[in-house]
Amino acid sequence: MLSQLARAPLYHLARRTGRLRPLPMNLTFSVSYQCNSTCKTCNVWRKRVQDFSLDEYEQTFRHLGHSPYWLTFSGGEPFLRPDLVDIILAAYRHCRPGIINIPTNGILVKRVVKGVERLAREASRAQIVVNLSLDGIGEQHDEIRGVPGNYAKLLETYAGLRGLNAPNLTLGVHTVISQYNVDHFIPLHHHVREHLRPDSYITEIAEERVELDTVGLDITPPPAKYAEVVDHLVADIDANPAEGVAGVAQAFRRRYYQMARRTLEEQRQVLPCYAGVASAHIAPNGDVWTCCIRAEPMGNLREVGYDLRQVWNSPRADDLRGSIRRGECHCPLANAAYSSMLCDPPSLWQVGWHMLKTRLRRRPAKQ
Amino acid sequence: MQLMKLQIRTITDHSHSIRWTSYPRELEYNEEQDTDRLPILHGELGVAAPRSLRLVLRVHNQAGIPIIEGQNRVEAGQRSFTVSELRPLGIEAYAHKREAERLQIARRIWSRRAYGTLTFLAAP
Repeated sequence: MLSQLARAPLYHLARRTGRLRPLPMNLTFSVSYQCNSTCKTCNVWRKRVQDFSLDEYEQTFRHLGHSPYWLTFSGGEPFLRPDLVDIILAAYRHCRPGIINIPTNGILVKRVVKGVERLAREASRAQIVVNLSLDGIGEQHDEIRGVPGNYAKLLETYAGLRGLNAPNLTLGVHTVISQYNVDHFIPLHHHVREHLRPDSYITEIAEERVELDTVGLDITPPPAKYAEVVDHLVADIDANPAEGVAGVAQAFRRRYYQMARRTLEEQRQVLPCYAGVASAHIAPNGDVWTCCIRAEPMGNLREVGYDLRQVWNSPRADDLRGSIRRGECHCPLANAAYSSMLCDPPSLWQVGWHMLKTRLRRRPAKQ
Repeated sequence: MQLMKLQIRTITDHSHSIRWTSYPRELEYNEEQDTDRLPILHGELGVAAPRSLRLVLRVHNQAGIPIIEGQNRVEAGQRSFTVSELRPLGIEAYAHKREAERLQIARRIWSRRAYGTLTFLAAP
């Protein structure tokens, strides 16, 4: 993580000048649009493109080298690909990322548990973060996700992953806060804290994304209701401060929630966005995007011999970066926001200040 | 017949052939005219195009996200132009769906239109 902080000034300069183009530290690969959920908040399962093969991923990672630190393998449901673990291990061999993040709906119980067990064992020097998607308790979860019995399977997968002896595994729970669950969020949060006790709990607001084909769906909760959720999450963080690395993650998360709330209320780019500079997204067919919100291709890896640099340095990529830099779009996308915060001096200052305050507050309690 | 207007927020002119006072500030369309596709947008330049131009229209949602794209040519000497064949971004991932279903998706995305941006390029 410290090595990434050292790269932050380079990304900061790249965004400001538009001249330097270091490869992104944070890359997301949607490995397929196929999904065995039919969520009310997502249409990705309806889409179809020609997915990259394992060999195509291998070539892509070979070209990337050690540039990305944080890799996410998303979907659709990524575990529907029988070769998912081979794809990720290919990335591990070529890129040596520090963090490998996999969101999953947890429906394929055995495949997820066996796959994560192998991954954690063979990619032992990376932190493997598996986030199980949980949008409600019991039948409410199944209804939002469109799969009867999903909740029970998620619990089974959770228990299976909990039982693994994998020191490099972080088991997380991820909630999409939408029109469908915003009124039930606080009980859901208590449920997660009391019954599941994951290593990390993250939430994201349901929003209009081109990738997920959610433009025109009324899924985003009203700003006032989302503000209540943020107040609750921030109060919870303040009441239960973590220590060490978890404390750093918590401080960033706290900052993210506040930014997401403000973005929704003020309808502008509150946090300078580094999508297309420090982070990027690769679609299942090799299209390279600044982010999944815009999902506008800078180019396609198949057309450039799987060499991201050729797409990254193209005039089209510069155009898209320019548009984002000018604040022509805004969104609270969590994935991009975390790398943006890492490259944004005011955010770093605020996160650091919050951590210092937390530490000072804790000191008298210890004495 | 009631004509609707799409406000044009920014114009980029890579052809450098039109004075900024002659750019269209809005495009007009009739929502009810075309039931089997997205509306055709009509625009007019303040002066006749001094050369053949290619124009690219991008329709954005409230958050500034481009959601729909369309292109056309403006021939030298013409003032008025149309943009038909509007295409939602990412619609190619629905190539396996029936035409009617694709239109339904396109209309849902079109419902989120907030403003447009225009780019003029010198036509080959």
